[in-house]
Amino acid sequence: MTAALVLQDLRVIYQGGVQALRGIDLVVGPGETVAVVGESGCGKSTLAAAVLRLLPPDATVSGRVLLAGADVYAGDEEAARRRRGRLAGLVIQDPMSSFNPVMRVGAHIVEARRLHDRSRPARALWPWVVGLLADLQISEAGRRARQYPHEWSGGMLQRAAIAAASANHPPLLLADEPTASLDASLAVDVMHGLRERQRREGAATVLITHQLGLAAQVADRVAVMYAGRIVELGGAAQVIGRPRHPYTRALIAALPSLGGGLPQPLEGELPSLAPPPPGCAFAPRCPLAIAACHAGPPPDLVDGVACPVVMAPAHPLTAELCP
Amino acid sequence: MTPFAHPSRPALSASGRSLRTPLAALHHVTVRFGRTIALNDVTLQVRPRERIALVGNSGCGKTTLLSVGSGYRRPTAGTVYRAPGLRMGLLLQDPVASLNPGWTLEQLVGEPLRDLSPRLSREARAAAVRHALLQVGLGSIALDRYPAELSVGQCQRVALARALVANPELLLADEPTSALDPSVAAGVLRLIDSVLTATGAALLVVSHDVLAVAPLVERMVVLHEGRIVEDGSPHELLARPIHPVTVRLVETARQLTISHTPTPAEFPICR
Repeated sequence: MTAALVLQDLRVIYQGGVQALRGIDLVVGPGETVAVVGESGCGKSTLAAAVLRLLPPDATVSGRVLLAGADVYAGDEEAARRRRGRLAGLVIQDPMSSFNPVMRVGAHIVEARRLHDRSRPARALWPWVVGLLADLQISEAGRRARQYPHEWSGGMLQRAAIAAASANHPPLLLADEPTASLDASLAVDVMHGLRERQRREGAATVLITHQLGLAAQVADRVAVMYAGRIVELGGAAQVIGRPRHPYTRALIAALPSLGGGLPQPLEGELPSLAPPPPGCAFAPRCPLAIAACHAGPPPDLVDGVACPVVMAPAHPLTAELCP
Repeated sequence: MTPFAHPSRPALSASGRSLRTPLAALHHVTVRFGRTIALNDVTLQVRPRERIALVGNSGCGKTTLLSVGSGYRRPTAGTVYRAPGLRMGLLLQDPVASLNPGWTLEQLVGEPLRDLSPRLSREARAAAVRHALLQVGLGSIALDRYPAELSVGQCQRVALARALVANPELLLADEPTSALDPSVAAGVLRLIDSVLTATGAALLVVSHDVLAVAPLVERMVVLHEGRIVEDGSPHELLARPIHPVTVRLVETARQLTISHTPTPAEFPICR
């Protein structure tokens, strides 16, 4: 089966020389949920924009992006727009502004579906809309679907935005912090509901988030990004439960834990990417860094970890974590 | 009778207040917005040095409680007490939005002093600004910089300095870390903790993130639909939640918590 998304050596340089993405390779299979995690400024949102060909015109893109086998950067903007609507859905962080205030919430979702598929009349789609909203934990979905956006809370509208983005069954749903405005328990429920639905339909999800706990709950695989590169990639339980890259370990140590004390902050700041530092971009903040880390090309992923130091066979951390 | 509890000589807080007299108190407070009841018969006291977290889901009334307690909003019914001359500092959720982009750091951090200590000299005000910035780890920052020149983490430190500049006895914080990356949030939580320890200020923090605020406080109050439904130490609440709302909050926190692995720095193999 064709992969929902293939990224090959994807690079993005913004005007001013900021190298926001520096060689991303990632394959997302049908029905799979992959979480992309990292701090603000690591390149997560540039990744989403690059996948959809929605970067500002002054950005330079190289490498390949295939959505369900189709090259996103082939043809003109108009062709790209049609393809995008058919092959990918996007959920953004703040949905409030994307709803027409004089249109019923359910009608938005019907429209989102009919924009690319006019085979069924709007009336016939209503039961489907109600089912979709119920999947996303909207209670009394039938009554609610007939209401207007101002009658819905922000958290409910965020779920309506998810419903609209997945309305025409795109092979890929890109969700950029889709649950940032929801309470934690609701965020978990909504993401589980979405994941089940995506699985049933064989559609893939790329979840962009800084909430590692949520990623651990709902993702099949997790990609950890730092300074425009993927530094660790693997099964969610592996990456979050037994992190190997020093950056992943530091990110997890910064999370509050049940019954624990105050978490350990990650010292230092993200490096400038105009141009990026030589070697591993995390080396200046890394307590395990050796001289070799500060020179040469940035390390590539080997067995899912871009850190030759911890992955060296003789390294005690490797011995402990990968017996 | 121990000499420590002599009734005529009560223990005093750093600012000379009795530790047993509340800094602020809500007595049977109800707040209505039209037909909506945001707070329903809430009674709560904050004593000197006490650290309290108000937790609950969106819409439970926790921000309303903070705005009534600070005097920003009047209750529909009930009474609000604040100790005479009480000095309060306020820290908001979004550090970038809460700082006026056209003001320098000196103006931003010094502004609360204009109202609270209007007769302060220019020099004394500048010294207070410097001291507040020093408290938040920005001792060497240039005072003529603007918020746009700072990182989000630095902005939240500036916002905290602004809350601390008048040497508050009570720090009110509304979701102080929920707009921040976890790596930055951890630093802000530690900073709030160390500043409170150093100054002896009391804390009333509002958050939906039980895990983040638990290590910061000695008391957690759970709000649901405008009522206090549970009140206890974080340890008790996390180990033995009773009310269904608390049970759900703790269950989710448990689901989302990631078992801690040691940081690279904690590894004996660190070179």
